[in-house]
This record gives sequence, C-alpha cells and structure tokens, in this order.
Amino acid sequence: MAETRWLLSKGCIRGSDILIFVAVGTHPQPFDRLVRAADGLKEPVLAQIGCATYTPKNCRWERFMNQASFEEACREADVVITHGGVGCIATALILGKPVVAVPRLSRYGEHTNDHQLDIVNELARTGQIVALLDVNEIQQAIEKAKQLKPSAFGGGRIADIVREFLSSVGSEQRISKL
Amino acid sequence: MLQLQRLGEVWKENDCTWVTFRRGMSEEILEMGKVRFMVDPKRNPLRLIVNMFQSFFAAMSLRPKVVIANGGGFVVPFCWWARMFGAKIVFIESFSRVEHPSWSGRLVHPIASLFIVQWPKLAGFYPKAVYGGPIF
Repeated sequence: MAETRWLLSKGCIRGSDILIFVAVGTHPQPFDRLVRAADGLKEPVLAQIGCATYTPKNCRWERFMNQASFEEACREADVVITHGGVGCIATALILGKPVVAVPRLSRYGEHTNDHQLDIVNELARTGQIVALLDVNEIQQAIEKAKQLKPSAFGGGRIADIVREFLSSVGSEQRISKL
Repeated sequence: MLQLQRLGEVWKENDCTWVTFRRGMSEEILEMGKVRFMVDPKRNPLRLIVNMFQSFFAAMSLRPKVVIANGGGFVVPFCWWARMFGAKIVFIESFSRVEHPSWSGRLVHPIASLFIVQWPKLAGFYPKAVYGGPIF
C-alpha cells in the first residue's frame, strides 16, 4: 500500500481490519480504568494516556499530544475511544470518526465530579456517539460504534452573538480570553 | 480552550490576549499571539490565593474592555478583577454542561454582561442566559 498510516509508522502492528485511538485528555487525574481496557484490546491501539499511573504493555502509547498530532491520530483511526471531555469528543466527530465515550467518574478518582455523564449520555441519546460506562464491554462498544454515521454539530451561533455584542460595545476592542 | 478557538474570526478582528494556565495544548497558544499564564487553583486554597494575585495584576495591566471566558474555576478571579477595572464580561458556559450549571458559571453570572449557554436546559438556571447552540 502506497500510503503509510501514521499509527502503522509509529509501530502498531496491523493484525486486524481496524485501528483504534484511545484518548484520556489532559485532565490531571488518572484514568487507569480506560487505559487498562485499551491495553487489553485485540485491535492495534494508540493510546494517549495523560496522567494515568498504569502504562500499557501491549500497545503504543504517549502521555500527551499537541492538537495537530491528536487530529492526525483521529484521522488515521477507524474508531476513537475517548474520555468524556468535549474537546476530544468534538475533535473526533468533526473529523467524521465513530466515537465511543467513557465518562470519568468521581467515585473512581477520575474527576472531581460526574459532569461528563451528562454530555456522554446526551450525545448517545441522539445517536452521535456510543456511551460506555462499563469498560468490560469495550469490545461490544467498538462493534456498535462501527454502525454509527458520525456528524459534526451544527446550528450554533455563538460567534455571531459575540460579534454583535462586541459591535455594540465599540470597535477595536481590547479583549482578554480565558 | 478548544471551544474558544472556534470563535477564530472574532479573535482576528480584535486586539486579544489569552489568559490561561499551563497544561496540554495551552503551550500552543504561544503561537497564536499574546498570552498570560497563571496558576490553576484546582480546588487548592493556596493555589487559589496565588491565582487571585496573578489575576489582579494581569487584569490591572491588561485593562481589557471585554473579557470572554469559557473556563473552569481559574477564570473567576480574573473576571471579577477585570469587572472591577471596568471590563464587560462575556461568559460562555461549557459545551459539557448539558443539565447542570458549572460553579464558574454561577460565580461569574452576577457580573456578566453577556452569558451564553450551549444547551437549552441550562437557560433555566441563569436568568441572563442567551442560548447560542453548540460552539463546535
């Protein structure tokens, strides 16, 4: 094959038809539950493990990636399995990838609260992603994700609302963005 | 941060400075223009005090006319200090907040000139809220 896929060039051994990219984001609490599950997958995996205390034995991994590398990994993967962070989910969906989202849960020390449940459940309800709460069912979730027809979000007009507000305040604004 | 980057044209049309903390892709904003780093409180009282001092001096030196915030707890002191120095505050509640408001949103709402939510259910929590749909 003429095209060299990034995951293959990074050392993943292609033993099946699909490649998986697993991402836990940059949140400062470990998400070992998902990283361990990723390490047990039969498919070739690239894992972005963040602050995990567990380091994979069976797949390629990196702790953090810049946005360009993250997008490249999403593009080359066939399924993206991510924590419930909206940045990761949205990046994968905008790139047209099937997404399995695993919300971080406070009872496992994965986040300070359970707010990721809200967005994961809502997007799963509308059929945009597959929600995975029990990581023991990760293989089934991958199979479900293959049936998804991912689509980017739409209908927002926040940029227009902000632009109208800035026009009402005056031109040449000095703006701080947080 | 990724959410605010989606407002790309707005940043190009104005004189902007990013105020953020060092983690992950925040290093990439150095390529995007002016940036001020400060400490993320992470629910630690000492880090919060440091953040409050950093926010005060940043707000005083920058004197923004408008602050556009979309962050967690670390944005709150800066928004209040900037408001004290005369800035108008625009707060965009995170896309992750579907049914439950964030603490940062609740703390900034009283001083916000424009408060945008991305899910319709949240409008009931914030009297000033404008529904803007998804930023993505």
